Amino acid sequence: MIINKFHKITVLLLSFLSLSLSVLSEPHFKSLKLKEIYMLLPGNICRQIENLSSSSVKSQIIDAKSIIPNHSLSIRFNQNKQVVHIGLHIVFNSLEDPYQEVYDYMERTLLYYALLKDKDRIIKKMGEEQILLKYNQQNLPANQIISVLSSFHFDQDTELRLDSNEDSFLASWQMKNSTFLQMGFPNNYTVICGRTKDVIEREIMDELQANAIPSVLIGKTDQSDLEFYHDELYVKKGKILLDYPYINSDTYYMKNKDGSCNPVFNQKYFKESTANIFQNLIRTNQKIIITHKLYGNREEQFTLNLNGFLNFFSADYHTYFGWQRGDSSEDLVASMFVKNQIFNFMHLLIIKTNSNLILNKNSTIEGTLYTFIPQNHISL
Amino acid sequence: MNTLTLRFPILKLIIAVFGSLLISIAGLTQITKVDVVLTGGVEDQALKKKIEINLEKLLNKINTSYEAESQKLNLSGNWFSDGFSKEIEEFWEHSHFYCKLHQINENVIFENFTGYYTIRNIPIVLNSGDTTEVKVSFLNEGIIDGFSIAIGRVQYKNSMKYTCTIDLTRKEIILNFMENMKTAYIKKDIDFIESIYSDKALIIIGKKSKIQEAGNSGDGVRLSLSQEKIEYIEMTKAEYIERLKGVFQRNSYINLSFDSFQLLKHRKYDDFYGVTLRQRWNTPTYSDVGIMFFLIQFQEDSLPKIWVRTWQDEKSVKDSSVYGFADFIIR
Repeated sequence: MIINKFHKITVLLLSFLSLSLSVLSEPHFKSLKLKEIYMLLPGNICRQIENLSSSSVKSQIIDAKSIIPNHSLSIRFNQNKQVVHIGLHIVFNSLEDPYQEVYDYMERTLLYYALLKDKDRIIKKMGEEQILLKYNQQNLPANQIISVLSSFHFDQDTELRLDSNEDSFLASWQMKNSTFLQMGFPNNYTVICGRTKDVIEREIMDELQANAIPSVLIGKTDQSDLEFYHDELYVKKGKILLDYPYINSDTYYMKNKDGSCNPVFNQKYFKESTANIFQNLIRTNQKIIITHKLYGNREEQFTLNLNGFLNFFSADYHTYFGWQRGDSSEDLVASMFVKNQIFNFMHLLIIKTNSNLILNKNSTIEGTLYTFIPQNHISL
Repeated sequence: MNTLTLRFPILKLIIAVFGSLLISIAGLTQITKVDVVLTGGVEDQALKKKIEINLEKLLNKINTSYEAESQKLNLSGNWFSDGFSKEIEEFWEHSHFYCKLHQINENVIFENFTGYYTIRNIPIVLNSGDTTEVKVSFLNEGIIDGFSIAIGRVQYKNSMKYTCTIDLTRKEIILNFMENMKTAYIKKDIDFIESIYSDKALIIIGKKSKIQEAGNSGDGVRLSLSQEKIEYIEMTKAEYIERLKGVFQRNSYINLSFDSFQLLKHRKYDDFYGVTLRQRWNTPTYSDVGIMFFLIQFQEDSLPKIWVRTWQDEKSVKDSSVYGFADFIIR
């Protein structure tokens, strides 16, 4: 009897221990969507992911024939060993590709449908995310997704074309046997990245503080690009934001005696000089205290080198600048609109300053930042 | 709707071609009288006549003042509002202009969103020689209340550059707010949702349900027909929040997305904005697509505030009956 009781307690303890171990070994995920997918995976694949997450592996391709014949899974981890991607391995590209998040979304979504299995749930989810799947120009029925994907062999030679506009993406695969698969979906960043606005706001705040490396845009300005503006000033016309001619990416120059030209930076032309600063043409030691307006009526402050802040957005964004108040040098209010070139969202920085402060290369200015403002299907 | 989308580009093209001919002729010929003939858009014949007469009065007053090189327009009578008079005098002070057509043949468009009858595409020539088009807005009684110029075509005022930036900045802050609101529903963050509605907010919600009706196919076979029924309910903020708590509890997830945004500033109340959008609402057991209207107060130092939130079923609502500014009185 005593032995039996002891045995029961041991079994209970062992069960508890194994349960605890299994909880402890569950990987961390960058988004809830990834966790949802993980929960749907077969046990053997979950265990492989758990093992990988405890190693120093950054990315791995693992066999997925238990989910879908002839296919592999692509799994990636970040430096914190968080799972950042799980998807059907159908895109073969460099991770430096600016469209990486789009490819991840496609891989993740098709894996999710393969795991859902139930036709009605797939139809519902496709409707919710407004996803269109076509096979040889015909709509692909939900119950045929797995069989069609199984018949496809994706590799380095598979031709993938990605078309996009402000509102949507369209991926088209052309197979060697002339079959054709297409996947269309909205250009909606929070859906594509699989994280909500509150999460990505905090991520960009961390990234800014870690990666805002000071650098300015030094490009040779060809005189033929310049138009006479007024007095001694010349303008290099940039783009206009929407239909607003005064919100643009124009930059301003003065010509030297030798015929060369430099971006203007002086008190006399404080407005044009300020525009040049925010187009990151002026090397400065200035700092900017950013008040980041976050989801839930919260805000956080952090300080960055101004060139570092502007340089952070130089690769994937286009910057537009406009004045809210600019008649008096003592009271300047401007807006900087930073539009992402791939995804249809914008960041907005509002600066309240004066000309003495903004033109002092050792000063600290202040700005209010709003991030990830969607621009899809908007008529303003 | 199809007629409009087809017709307008053609009309614009005709005006542009005709207009460019007139520009070259305008320097040689005298500015003449303008006739207005409305081609449709308003059924009330008395109102139609009044709009025609008042627009003719305005355009002819403008043309005679241009010819006389008058420093002021000095409008008189009761066919326009005080606000309009101030607005057009301000414009005139900056740049004189005239209407370049002998006859205006346009449709009247009722903008449910703003509550105005409007006539668009009226071509004008500015002192500078620039040409542009204007829109004139009329109140219910045919009284002229607004005059707006196509943005981007002409740089008529220095202050315009500031107005543009302020306007777009505010609109982006409101769009940011809308995205945060959407996030709050997805996260089931009832506290945040409660904080963004005015305590006096007016809320109209709708719910789709299916009713089964017995029918007869005519050959003796009884059919069970399923029909959609839309139920609209007007609520206070407290009632809405209480209902929403139940929705959040009953559903494992809420998924919603917004598109087809239209964002306009109220003509009279600078801090009030109207947002119409299409919402796709999805929960595990219920989905709908609705057209929503939000009346939102922009506040400089705090979050925007929602005063009105309406939902109308996308399938059953007609364009002209979508809620807009005109349906709500701000006091």
